Amino acid sequence: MPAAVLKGNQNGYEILLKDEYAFETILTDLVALLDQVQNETLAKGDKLSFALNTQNRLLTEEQMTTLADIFKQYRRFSIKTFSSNVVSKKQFGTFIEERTVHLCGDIIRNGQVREIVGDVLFCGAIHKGGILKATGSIFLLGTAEGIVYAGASGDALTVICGDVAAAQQIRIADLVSVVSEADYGIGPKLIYVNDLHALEVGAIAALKKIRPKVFTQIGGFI
Amino acid sequence: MGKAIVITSGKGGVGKTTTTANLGSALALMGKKVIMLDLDIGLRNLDVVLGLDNRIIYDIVDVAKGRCKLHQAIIKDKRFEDNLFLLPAAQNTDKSAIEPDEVKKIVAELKGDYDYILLDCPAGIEQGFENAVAGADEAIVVSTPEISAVRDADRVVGLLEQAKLDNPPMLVINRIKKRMVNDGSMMDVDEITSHLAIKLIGIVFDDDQVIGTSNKGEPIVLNEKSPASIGYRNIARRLEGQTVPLMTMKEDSNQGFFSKLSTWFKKK
Repeated sequence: MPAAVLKGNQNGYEILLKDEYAFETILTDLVALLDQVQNETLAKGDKLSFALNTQNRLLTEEQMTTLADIFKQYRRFSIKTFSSNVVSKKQFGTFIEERTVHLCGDIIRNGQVREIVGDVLFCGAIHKGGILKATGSIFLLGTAEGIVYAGASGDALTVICGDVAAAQQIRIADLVSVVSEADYGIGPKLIYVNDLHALEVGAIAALKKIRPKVFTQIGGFI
Repeated sequence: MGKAIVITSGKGGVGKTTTTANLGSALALMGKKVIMLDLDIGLRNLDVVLGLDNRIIYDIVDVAKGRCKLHQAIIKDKRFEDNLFLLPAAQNTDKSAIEPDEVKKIVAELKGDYDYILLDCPAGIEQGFENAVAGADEAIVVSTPEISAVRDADRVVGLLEQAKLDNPPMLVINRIKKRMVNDGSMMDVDEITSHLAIKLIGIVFDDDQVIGTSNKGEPIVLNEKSPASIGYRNIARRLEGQTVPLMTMKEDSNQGFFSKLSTWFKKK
């Protein structure tokens, strides 16, 4: 059995780099495979792009460069994607972090910034001058008198839910609203970025309709 | 072993130095051995408020830099027998003249000899604040019922929480004007305490005599009748673990004859 196997499917060509072989063996077999493919398709002269599947093996940056270098030697061949059945713990940790609704009950005082990766269910108090900053959505149960900042890494699909009437500012992604100059009304509200990329206020009950994806947190990693 | 308490506020002019001087005096009157450290280097005041400014020979920077022994710089307040002492700040340099570790070392050295070490913190949250907090086990945050003071106190409480002291910071609300609180134009004690979410250790009413006595170099606690004096004494008693009820907000009965008469009629 060769360590590099060519397969075709509806998405195009895929090369399986078998994980039971050493990386060096894979490299030799891959070169042999590519030479063979090049000879066989010489007459057609098409450009071919391959998806590389490393099965249960995670490639290092170095190994990816080595593979890329091999493909550079063939004018007509290129790498479409790298894929694998496994992810690193670190990557998975980030994935979980981003998808978790974090429970936060802190007091965020004047001058403090509480940064959270992912969504947050906030049960504490944001004092005037304090900032609650989440890369995901913010659901407020506690009091907010400071700045509430959702989608801090630029995600405009995030929302802020809760009573923001006493807050100083609302921020979602790159949009900012000074609460005292806008009418957010009393009681819990839904604040989101509308199709015209402006902040809009709605009823919390509309969340499911406006952002259905907020309710499907887990799944679809790759 | 003594307890080191930093008295801080963030905002200037809310009464940190007055609180330090009076709390120290009140504790000394209760028979505790107290030393006050002025860390407002470059703008020292604690010595003036206590009327000890003319007796300074060495200061805390001299001690830190090894130019004198610790006991040489300490000034005894003779009014309080052997109970009240002051380690003054330097006047001819600035906050950066001393490092947090140096303050820590001085405080550690003093702990064996004193029951309370009160650190008078300068305004602001820069090096002077860091110096003062470095040496402390506990903190008292002084605020007045003004929005700016409360906001700064909130900031400082946040910084103190990060500093990981032995106990959470305690709050003193200073300069409360009963009349303004009662007519609703001043924030009241409950509002401030619940907002800052820290333990209230005492309130001090605004009292013209505080300025008058300070100007003479006498702490107000020496005057037993003044409401401010009672406020400071109560704080000292609570620090000692006694249970003392909070002073009432009711207006003093200095009404005129006719208003008194009218309330008398209303009662019937």
